Parts: sequence; C-alpha cells; structure tokens
Amino acid sequence: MTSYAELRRGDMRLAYTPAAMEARPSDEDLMLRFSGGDAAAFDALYARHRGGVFRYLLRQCRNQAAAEELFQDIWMNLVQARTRYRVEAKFTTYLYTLAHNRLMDHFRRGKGAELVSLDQEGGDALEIPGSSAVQPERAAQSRQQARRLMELVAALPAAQREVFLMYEEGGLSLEQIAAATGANREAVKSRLRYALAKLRDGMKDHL
Amino acid sequence: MSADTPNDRDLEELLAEAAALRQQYRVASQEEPSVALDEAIRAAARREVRARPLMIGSGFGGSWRVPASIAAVVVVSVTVAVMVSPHDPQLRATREGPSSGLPATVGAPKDQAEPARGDRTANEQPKVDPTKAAPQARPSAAVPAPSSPAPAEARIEKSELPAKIESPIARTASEREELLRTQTPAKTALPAEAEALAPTMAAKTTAAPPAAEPAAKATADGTVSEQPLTKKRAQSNFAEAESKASPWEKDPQTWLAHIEELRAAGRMQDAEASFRAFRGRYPDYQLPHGFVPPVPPVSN
Repeated sequence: MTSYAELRRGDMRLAYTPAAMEARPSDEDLMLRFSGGDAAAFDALYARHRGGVFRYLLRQCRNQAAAEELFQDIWMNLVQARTRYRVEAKFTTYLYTLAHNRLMDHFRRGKGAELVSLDQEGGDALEIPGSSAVQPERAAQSRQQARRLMELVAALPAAQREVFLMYEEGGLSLEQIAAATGANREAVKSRLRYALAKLRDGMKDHL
Repeated sequence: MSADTPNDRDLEELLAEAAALRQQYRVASQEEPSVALDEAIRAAARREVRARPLMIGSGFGGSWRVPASIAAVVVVSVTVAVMVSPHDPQLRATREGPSSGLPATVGAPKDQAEPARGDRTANEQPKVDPTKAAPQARPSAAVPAPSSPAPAEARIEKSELPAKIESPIARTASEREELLRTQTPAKTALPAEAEALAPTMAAKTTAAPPAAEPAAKATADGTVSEQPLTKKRAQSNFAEAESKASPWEKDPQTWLAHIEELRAAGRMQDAEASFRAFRGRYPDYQLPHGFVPPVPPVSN
C-alpha cells in the first residue's frame, strides 16, 4: 500500500522526508527566528515557499499582475505579523491560510463568479475543455502536454483547483488543506479525487 | 496525516494512478515571481527587522515586569514588617525598655501574673552595661512594694551588686584601699573598748610585729560580745584587709612613695584613693616637705 508520504517522496521540490527535515531547520524554527529578528531566516523561508505560493495564486486568479499583487500582500502580511506568530500548526498551513483569505478578498472585490465557483462542490460549473477542443499544432510533444495539463487545471472548478494546488504546490495534507480553507477533511478529499479524475481523463490521450 | 486509514485507500489508488500526471504537472509548473518582487519583499522584511530588532522579551512586555516585581517585593516586605512588629511582645518590650515595664512588675497581682516578663528582664539585665543599668533600676526601688518580694528588687540586686561590691575582679589595690577607708570609722569608733581590753591584749600588742597590730585589734574586737553583728563583720573584713595589706601600707613613708609612683604612672584615681586610705590610717602624719597630695576630682 502506498501512503501519501511515499507518494510525495518523488517530489524533489517538497523534500519532506525525515532526513531532509533533520538536515535543515523546519519552517516553524525559521519563522520563530525571524520573529526574533533574524532576517536571514526569512530569506530561507521565503526561498522555500515563494514558488508554490506564487503558482497557487497564479493558477487561481489567472492573471500575472494580480497574482504578483496578491503575492506581495501575503508576504507583507506575514512580515508584519511576525511578532504575533505562535507555533500552533505547521507553517505551511499558516501561510496558505493567509493566501486563501487574501484570495477570497480579491474575489469578493471584483470577481463574484469565482467566489461562487469556490462554493460549488460538484465541479460542473466550469466546462472542462475536452481533448477535441484543443488541437496542438506545435512540434514538441512535451510542450503540448504541459499546455494541455495547465489548461485542464485552469478548467477545474475553483474549489477543486484550490485543493489540487495546495496539495501539489504547497505539499499540504488533507487536514492542513481543510484547516486552511475552512472545509472539512472529507470535502477536501472529495475535491481532490474529483480534480485528479478530471485531469487524468483530460490527459488520457497524452499520457 | 491519516493517509493510511481505510477510507483513504481509494484516494491512494487514484494518486498512484495519477503519478505520471502529477509528475508531468511538476515539470510544466515552473512559474516564479519576478526578481524585483523578491527583492522588494526581502527588503521589506529587513526593514521590519531593523525597525523592531528584538521583539521577544523586549518591548512593553519585558520592560515593566522587573520594576514591578521589585516594587511588589518592597511593598510586601514593609507591610509584613509593620504588621508584625506591634503585635510581637518581645519586640515591644525591647523597644519600650525595662523601665517602662516597672509598674507592671512592682504591683503584686500583675507581678504574679507575668512572672516570665520579670524573669526575662532580670536575665537580660547582666547583658546591659552595669553603669547604665543601675540608674534604670533605682527608680523601682523607690516604689514601695512591701507585700511581696517583687522581681524588680531581685533585678536591683543583680544589677547593682556585681558592679559595686561582689565582683572579685574589682578587687584591685584601689578597691582594697577604698574598703579600708570605709571600714576606718568602725575602727576609730572602738578606742574605748579597745582601751578597756588593753590590759589583756597589751602583751600581744607589744610582742607582735607592727604588721600584726591590726590583726590583733581585730581579734580583740571579735571577743567583745556586745558588739553589733554588723560591726563585727566590718571588723572581720577590716582584719582580712589588714592581713592582705600591701607592704607599702605598713610604713607611712613607703606608702607615700607608692602614692608618688601611682601618680607618676598616671593612675590619679588610684593615687587619690590610696592617699585617702593613707589619711584614714595615719590622720596626723606630717607629710614630708615637697609631697603634694593628690587633688581629688571636683564633684557636684
């Protein structure tokens, strides 16, 4: 039987193996050091999570400028709230909770449709582009496959996409995702199953 | 993480089947924030750290605790000291002193009711300087307490006697001379009796060496049955003092030379006491020319 941890060992970007955790300070330690005035700890922490958070925001709002604005706001909030940080959960849960809340504020201000889509459970609000709709004409097969996959991700319902992105980009567990999004664990699990099923169905001709 | 629970098996199987898909996604998802954005965020973090370098253990939370703790300790200490001291009988008795407790010790009922205080005061008395303790104890003697032997009286005896008479350490030459001087009137009051006994004692008096003469007189005094008891005791003390007299006291000239030595040594009080004793012994002795008698200190 394959567990989540075993499945994630292949992800070199996350590297949450026990040996790797012992070799380097944890996110929580770095954040505490930053709270105590260690700017270098923040640099290390930022280097670890900058890509995942940025891609999470970029996939969710589908706008480079908006993603960068949200990205900067999230990290600035974290910097200004450093004195109030307490190790009550994993740092990634804390970070993606900030990201989720900031994203919700963004949707409430200008994109009500996205907000509605986040509340949907079925995943039928957005039409998933079928393989017949996209006819890649580029030579490179891999590039076509990548584009196809990104299109499939973008076509996922926002709630499913958020769970999928948190799972893949942030490396969060089902419990952590549930805590960050305010949903229950079974709902998160269901969304993840739906998302994976749709992506696999959309990519079955390219795998 | 509860990924190994039976309810997650279907998800695990799905994740295993989608492993190639997830790997393809990781390869395709490579977007990064711009370098300018990175620098802006890092610079903001450094500015924040410089603005408030040490937040843990500093600031308001760390600045007021130490002074507040010190102030609390001081207030509690002073309060306890103030509350305890007035109710402690030992501290109160020590603060008021022994003289203020005298009325309680003189009265018979209270004296019996509080024997511990009287005993404690009597026991503490020798620790006090006798020269200072005596004046404090004297007023209690003036208070009439005929009904019972009050502890105050015992305190007077213990405070006065060791300093004046009973102390063996005080028996220096001057003390002995003072004792001799005080006993001299008893001696001078006896000539009639001594003359009456002169026929019986004449042989002994003439046969005895000059040093034995006072002792012979004392023996003669002891034979007189009509002599009061106190006078007998005084005469016996005088006999003892005479028997223990120093060699210079046997000869007036030697005695005067000893007085000169005492004065030369700066022992003026001893010289004065010795001269008084000398005058008591030899009241009509003609002082040699050039001998200046020690001047007694002026006293009111």
